[in-house]
Amino acid sequence: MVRSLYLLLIYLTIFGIGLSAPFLLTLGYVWVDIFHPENVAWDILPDVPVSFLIGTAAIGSYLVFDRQSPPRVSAITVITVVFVLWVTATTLHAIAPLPAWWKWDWAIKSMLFSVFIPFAIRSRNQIEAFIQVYVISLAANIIPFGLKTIITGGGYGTSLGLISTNSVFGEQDTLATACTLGIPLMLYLIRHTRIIPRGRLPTIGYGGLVLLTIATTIGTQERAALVGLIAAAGGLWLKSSKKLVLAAVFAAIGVAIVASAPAAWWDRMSSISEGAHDGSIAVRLKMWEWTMDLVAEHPNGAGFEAYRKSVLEFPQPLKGEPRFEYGRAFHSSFFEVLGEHGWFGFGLFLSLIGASFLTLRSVARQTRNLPGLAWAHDLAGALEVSLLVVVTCGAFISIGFQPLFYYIFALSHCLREYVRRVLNAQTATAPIESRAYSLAGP
Amino acid sequence: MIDTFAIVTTTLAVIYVLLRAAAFDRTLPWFETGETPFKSDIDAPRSNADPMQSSKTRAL
Repeated sequence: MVRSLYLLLIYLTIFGIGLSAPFLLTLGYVWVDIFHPENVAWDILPDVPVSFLIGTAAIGSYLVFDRQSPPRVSAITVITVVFVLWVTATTLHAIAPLPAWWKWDWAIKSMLFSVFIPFAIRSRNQIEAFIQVYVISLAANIIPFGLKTIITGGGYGTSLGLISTNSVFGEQDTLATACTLGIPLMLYLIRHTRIIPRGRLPTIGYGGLVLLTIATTIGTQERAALVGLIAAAGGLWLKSSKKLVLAAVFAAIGVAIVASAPAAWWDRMSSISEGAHDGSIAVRLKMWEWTMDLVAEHPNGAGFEAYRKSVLEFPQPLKGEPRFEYGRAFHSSFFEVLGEHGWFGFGLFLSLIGASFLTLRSVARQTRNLPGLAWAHDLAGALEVSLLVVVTCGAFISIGFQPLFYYIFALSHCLREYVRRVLNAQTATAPIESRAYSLAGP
Repeated sequence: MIDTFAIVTTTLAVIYVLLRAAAFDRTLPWFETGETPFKSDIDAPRSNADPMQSSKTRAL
């Protein structure tokens, strides 16, 4: 009860602070969306539509009090809106209507809110605050999971985080992906944090969080998490200007993992090489085969939660009778989108990822030689690595409609709009000498 | 114990970030690019102030 009352107080406090500006309510929504107080508290908040209330307040306050200089319509905006309309259309003729509307209800929130975010999050301060809130909210799960992994060694399917239900970050593969994509953002904050003043303590804090994140991903014993960690390491290494140093750091971390990982972790990871002979991988391959058959039958998509109708047949050569499994998950964001929303939906999803990558590349290119915008250049690089992680992990887990993807899409748009406004304003208002000074930094 | 520690520290940190971000939002010019705000930028709010943030926004 104390925990529930405390979280209710925190929710009301965040709501109260948010009333001073729409961007603060937007950050409050991000906290609710990542921390999930309704799943962490045991009483009161589970019965309150916390996400809906703060999300509506954020959009409403923006519409009533703000509405100035909205961002330009980008490819990301257009594709997301078309995607929202398309997934609504596919839900109308879903093969599993009831669960389809249930998933539509939460998926549509992530997608629509990602369209709204660039309207409220515009300045450097607001963009940094968004990342701080995202990372700190993630930390609420990383700290307990990471510490308990260090103490106990973790375990596949073992609930060590804050959320014990089998949803959102209660699912270990989703938690591991969210944690891994947070690593580039934590490293970014070590260099560029300003809201939390830079110093030894914040550096130790973010650095410790990176180590706990690695412990968490190892502790989940999820194979997708290992693939995500490798993708994150590869992306960070490619972006780094100190490749030798970073290679040595990664080698040291690798040695520490090898030396400390329990036998159960090695057993799980070694099963990757067994391919179709491993039970879990065999189910995935069968499920993806089933999805291709499904999309051949429903090229415009079978609607959300179509996997519930799946029937997988496993021949048993020795025993004769085949074994059947029903309602297995897609085990891949790409097959999830393809099966649920057909080829058109799949194309929109890939286009969103592509548009986001191109936007971030464009920001990085525009800010490369502007020391005053070094933070934007580094953030674009960090978000690229985060997107690489979520795409890589997403190939093996069904997170196609989780906010993990859509927050990165939204932040890409925010960052691009910020850089465009700065460069336009500098060009339009400042004389050449002061323009060069301002962009060159203090 | 560990769970409680995580809940308390992270929620308080989020509130701290929101309060600091709110304070910065009122004082920093919106497109300042340096590591610390320039005195000249703050002294010249109309040239550098956030054209997207009206007083109405701040007094919401």
